[in-house]
Formats: sequence, structure tokens, C-alpha cells
Amino acid sequence: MLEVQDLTVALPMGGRFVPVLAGVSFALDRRQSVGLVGESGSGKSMTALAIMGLLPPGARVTGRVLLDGSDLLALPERDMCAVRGRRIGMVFQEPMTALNPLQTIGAQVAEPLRIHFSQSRAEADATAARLLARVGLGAVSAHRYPHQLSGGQRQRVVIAMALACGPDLLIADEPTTALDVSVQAQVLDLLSDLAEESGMGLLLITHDLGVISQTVREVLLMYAGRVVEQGPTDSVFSAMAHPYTHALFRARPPDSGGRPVAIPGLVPDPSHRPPGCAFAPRCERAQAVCAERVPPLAGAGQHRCACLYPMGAS
Amino acid sequence: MRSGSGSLVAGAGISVLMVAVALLSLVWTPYPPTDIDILNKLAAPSVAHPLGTDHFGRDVLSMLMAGASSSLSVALIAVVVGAGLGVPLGGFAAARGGWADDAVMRACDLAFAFPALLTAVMITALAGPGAGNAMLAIGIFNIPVFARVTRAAARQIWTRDFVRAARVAGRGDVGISVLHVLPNIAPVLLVQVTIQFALAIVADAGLSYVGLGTQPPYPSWGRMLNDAQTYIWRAPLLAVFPGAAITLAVLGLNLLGDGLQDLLDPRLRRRR
Amino acid sequence: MAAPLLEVRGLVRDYPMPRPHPFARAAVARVLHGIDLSMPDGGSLGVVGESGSGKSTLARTVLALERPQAGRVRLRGEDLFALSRAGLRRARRHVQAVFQDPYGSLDPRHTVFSIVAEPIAALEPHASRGERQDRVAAMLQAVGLPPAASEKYPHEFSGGQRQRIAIARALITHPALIVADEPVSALDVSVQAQILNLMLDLRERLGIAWLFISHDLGVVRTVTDHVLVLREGRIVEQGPTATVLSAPEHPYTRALVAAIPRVRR
Repeated sequence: MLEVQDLTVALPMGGRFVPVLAGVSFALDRRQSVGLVGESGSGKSMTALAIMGLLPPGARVTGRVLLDGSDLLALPERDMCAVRGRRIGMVFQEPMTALNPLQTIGAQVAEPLRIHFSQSRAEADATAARLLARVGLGAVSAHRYPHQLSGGQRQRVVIAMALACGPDLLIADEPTTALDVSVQAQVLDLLSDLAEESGMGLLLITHDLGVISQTVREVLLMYAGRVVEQGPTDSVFSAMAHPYTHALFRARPPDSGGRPVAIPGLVPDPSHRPPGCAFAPRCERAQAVCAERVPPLAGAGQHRCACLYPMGAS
Repeated sequence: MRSGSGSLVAGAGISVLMVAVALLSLVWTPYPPTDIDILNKLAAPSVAHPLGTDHFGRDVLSMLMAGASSSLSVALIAVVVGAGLGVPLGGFAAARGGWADDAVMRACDLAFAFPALLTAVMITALAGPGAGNAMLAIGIFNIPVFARVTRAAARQIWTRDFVRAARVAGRGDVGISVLHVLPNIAPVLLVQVTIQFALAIVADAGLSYVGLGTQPPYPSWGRMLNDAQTYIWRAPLLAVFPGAAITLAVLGLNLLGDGLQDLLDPRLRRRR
Repeated sequence: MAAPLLEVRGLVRDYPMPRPHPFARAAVARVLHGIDLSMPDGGSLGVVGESGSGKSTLARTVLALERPQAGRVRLRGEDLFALSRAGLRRARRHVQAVFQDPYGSLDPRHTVFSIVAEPIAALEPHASRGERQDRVAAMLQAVGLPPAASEKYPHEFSGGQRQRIAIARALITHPALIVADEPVSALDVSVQAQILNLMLDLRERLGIAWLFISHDLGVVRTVTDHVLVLREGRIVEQGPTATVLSAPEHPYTRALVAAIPRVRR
């Protein structure tokens, strides 16, 4: 349904073009869930923005983003507006800034219906009420304003808005990061259930390995604008191949207490990326050849890794 | 952004020109602006008198230049009075909050309830006309403006974590206001200064027009406008030149303020 | 037995709520319902809670940034709220803070030197310029930043580096206690790990006590010996961190622990 092929994005910064994404490729079918994991500067949010056609003006984009065969990157803005909301829904991190504080939640959920389906107010309101009930807000009046709801409730409203037109793909960018831990689990379960039920594809973007592990079937790890490891979640987490994946896992506070193992150094600035493998300067396993060329994604089967000396090999 | 830098350049240019002319007029004008030459009255612009002469034969260009220095000095003192008292007042209100904040804000509301120009007229009529009282009258009305702007901008800074950190580090309210709040609200205040400066020039022209500002024989743009009224059919240019001078001054300052705002805002955002 | 470094008894904190109309009585929301806690010298206490639990209010009250409606906060036996202004300033040398937002907790208009030296400027004004420079340089080194960082401005640094600057500022008066309010929540995981390790090292080397406020149980587990679980202004459970997190007794704590997303391998 969604096929991203060799997506490369460069942004104008201080007179030059700085690469923020390089050669990102993956596929997502209906009823499938894929996770993009990475830290700041990894390019995960940029990937979502590229798919939605929401990159800053002046961005240079190559590659293809195929939605059921048609390339979204080639669409003029007017056609892209018809796609956003209708065929691709998006949920952002901060529910408070994603919602208009001056509109009732019912009106905000109904808005995409009125835009894309030209529904009358009565029809749209009825559908909106159903959607709010579906996301677990049945007991909350549609006439409430965002500031009267809790963070978790607001995020549910945002999800209802994203689902209003029955999109084929739902992109959720850090949907639970701003929420309390107890609410996070509920919202993630809601997302997976909804995806299952309506046959949508789910693209979940996050920095949290635990969230990915529990919610999506396939994962892509990104570092400095490239995919460094991808494959089925179970396979990737039980046999982490890329040193970065391994390091990221060890940097989490251990479940049994004790110190996390920090990754030395910093994520490289996009305008000063080292030649060759971007992770090499921080990698314990790096050899001289790692600085010479960018390792391609390689591996038998579905679990692939962009490393010349993956873990588990000699 | 391009229009922003255009405003800044144009505004700065005009303002600098005005200041230069005003300073120059303190040491030199083509003719002494108070020199009467009845034989040459109401002359049209010529090489000898580029902007003509008025009904007393005084050189209009010289009067305009001297008027610039008088207008700018009144506006400068008025803004200094207004900011000098208004900024600390607003800063104090923002730092204290509570009843102090309420008291200062209600006092400002009271001041705003009075029509500024009329009250300035009243003050100068009671205290006696003259440049000094004009400075004071206009300055008094600048105080609540600066107090309000300062308080609004300062309140936003007081909620920031680095102010909390400064408190924990042992700074008191005064230290925080001066070292942390003031530098961070300076851009806003600077823009407000240009706005108030322009308004002060207009207010001074208004007061002079009704005879309450700078007194004769010292020239002022407002009084030139009043004098020109009688001769509007015989020598219309007499009204055009002081009017144009006032307009240009205000335009220059407004453009400068606009340009500064555009310049300082995105910079601040990018700094984050 | 030595007196505890920090002792909090019966802390109550209310916030005024907006009135529906000017003649209504001012309603009040109680954020802290009588909190008790104590910490020994060099101890490490975590305060865990979700939004609305009052943990940040507790941090600010312990730092004497806000005055409680009732209760006492004793630092080395001195009641912070009974001190004169001069007395409070003297006491501040012993308790400093690190805040959550690395972008908001450093004044963008000041150099790193000015930021890190501020506690000396305000609390030890007699220190000479040379002494200040030496101490700032030493602190920057202790937190892993190059001495050249002194002359730069905050916007030239990354989030993790800014937190290091904030930690250097907190350390410069050699306080006995540092209150850290969500110090790593805004950082990437790999940077978090660096800062947490730094804080653990500093505790070992300098014997500083940490009052660590967080919503992240995993982080609290790494950094603290004891933990308090706060819910809607009340302590629902407390004890050694390892025990509370591995065998929680209160249902709320159990729910919090269960909700942590774990990586299945």
C-alpha cells in the first residue's frame, strides 16, 4: 500500500543543502504496523513529513513515495491536500498544540468529514460522536473544549480526528511521549486495535524501544538520516545486529538497576557528517574501512543491517 | 524577511538624516531662523531660499532645521521620562505580582482613561506654555505605556526556568530584574521607544500648533503649520514643508521600529 | 544518629483557583497534602509521580521558591522558611537545582561563564575574579566540558551539553544537596545515559545528596537508593528503590511499574 523507495531529503541551511535523509526505503501494507525508531537528528520525523508532503519550502527531495502505486512526491499541492486527512491521517506528539483551543472537540473531529466528504453538519456531528465513542471518549460530551480534557483524552481526540475519513495509513509521531506512563499503554493499545479493526496501516515513530517492542511488528532503526537496521521486531530485538541498536538498548536504564552504558560522543550535526558510516566514530567495532564508505543494508531474509561488522558475526 | 530589511534600512536612513539635520542646526543653518526680512516675505522657493520664506521673511529651510532640533529634543526628553519611570514601574509590577501588580496596572488604566493630548494641553496651559512643560506633559503620558509593555514582556520572562535558577542561585528580585529580565526584554522595549518617539513628535507638533509648545521666537514645526494657515491661498508651500517634515520624521521612526522588530524577532527564535 | 540533611514535615501547599466572579470566595486547590520525607547526607531520594502528583511543587518548595501553607522544610536543622532573607541566602549555598528544560534553564543572553558563576556572584560576592575563573574552569572540567566553553553562549550547545552546564552551575558552591527536577526527561536516551552516569560519578566523588524528581521509573531505579511514590499530593508508598520497584505493595505503584514499556527480547 505504501512503498517508500530511496527517499532522500536535503534542506537548505545557511546557503548550502544539508542532507537529512538518505536512501530510506520500506514498505507498509494494510493491517501492518511499522515502527521508525531513532533519536534526535535521526530523520524519523522528517520521513513522516516527507510522506505527508509537509517538508519546509526549499527542501530538495528525490526518491519515490508510492501510495497504492501513485507517487505522492510528484503530486501538486492541491492533490496532496486531498490525500492528507482522507487517505493518510497523522497524529502528532503534543495534543495541546494539535487541537484548536477555541473549537469544541466535536467540531474538530467533524471538520475533516466536512472538508473531504462535504457532509452536512448534522451528518458530520453524528459520525464525530461515533468516532469519539470508538476512541473511548463516549462519556465525554462533544461540546467540551480541549482545555477541559486531560492529556490522554486530548490525544484520543487527535486520534479520532486522524481516523475520521477512514484513512488507509495512520502516521503517529511520538504519540505518547508527552503522556503519563499509565496512559501511554492505553493509547498504544488503542492505536493497534484501531489499525487491526479498520485494516489501516500504522507507521509509528518514536525514540522509545519499549514502545516499539510492544506495538509494532516491523521496525526500522534510523541514525543520522539513514536506516541502519530493519526487520521484524522480534527478530531485531532478540538478535540485534547493528552496533548502534545494541548500544541504544544498553543505554536504557537497565531493568534490574545498575548503570546504563552511555554511547560516547554525540549524534553528528547534519552539516558535518563523517564520511563513510555515520556511527563509526562512536562505534566500538569500527575499523578503518568503516570511514571509507557507507555500508549498504545487507542481510539474508527480512532482517537487514547496514554494517560491515555486525554483532553476532566475527 | 526582505521587506523587513528594507524597512530597517529606509527607517534608519531617514532617522539618521533627521538627527544629523537637527544636530547640524545647532551650529549652522543657512540663515538664522529668527532673522526677519519683511522685504522678502512669502517668497517662492529660489536658489537663495530653497524652500522659500514665511510671512516675516524668515528662511523656511533654516526654520525647518531648527524645528527638527526642537522637536527631537522634546521627543527625546519625553521618551526618556516615560521610559525612565515607566520601565522600572512595569518591571516592579511584573516582579512582585499580586497587589503591587494590580495597583500599578490600575494606575495605568486611570492614566489611559484621560485623553492624552487634551490632558497635555491642560497641563501646559496650567503650568505655562513652553518646551520644558511640553516635555513633561508628553513624558507623563509615556509612563503608563512603557509600564504596560514592560510588565507584559517581563511577566513572560519571569516564568522561565532560568529565572528560577537565578533565584536558587541566590539572586533577589532586583538582581534578576536587571541581569536577566531586562536584557531579554530589551528588543521589545527598543521597538516601543521608536513608536513612542514618533508619537511624541506628533504630540509636540500638536501642542505647538495650539501655541503651548516651544514658544516664539524659537521655531517649531507645529507653530509653522499654524502660521501657514492664514496664508494657505497665497503661499500654500508654507504649510506643505512643515507637514512633510513631521510626516517624514514619523515615517522614518515607524519604519525603523518595524525593521527592528523583524530583525530582532527571528534572531531570538533562532537563538533557541 | 546524625541529623538528616533534609527533613520535610507536614508540607501543605495550596494554589488559588480563578474565581467564577469577583465576589465569590477564592477557591483553593490543595496540591500537597502533608508530605513527610527525610534524607541523610550523601543520600539519593527519588520522587516519582505522574502529572498532577505535585512532585514539581514539592521540588520548588524544598528549594524555597514557594512558601508552603503549612509544614516545615529543614536543611541541616535550619527551618528554611523561618530564616531571614540573609539567612536564606546563606542557606542557599547548600542546596542547588537542576531543572528539566535544557533550553529554558540557561539565560540565552549570558555567557556560560556568567551562568555557571552566578551562584558565586550572588552568594559569595567577596570571591575574587581569579577565584571565580578557577572554580568555573574546575566545574566545567568536572562535568566533561572543555574550558573554552566559558566564552560561548547557550545556543551553541546541544541539549545534553546544556544540562552539563546546568549541573556545573549547581555544583559550584559545593552544595550538600542538589534538587533535580526531571533533569534528563528532555534528552535522548543515549545522552540521558551520559548525564545519569555523570550524576552518579559526582555523587561518588563529591558525596552530594540528590533529590531526584522524575516520572520515569527506569531512570529513578538507576540513580536513587530510596524512592517516594506521589499521587495527587500524597505519598502512597516509599522505601528502598529496588524493593519498591520490584515488589510494589500499593496498587497505584503496581500499575505504574506494570505500565513501563519493556523491550521483549
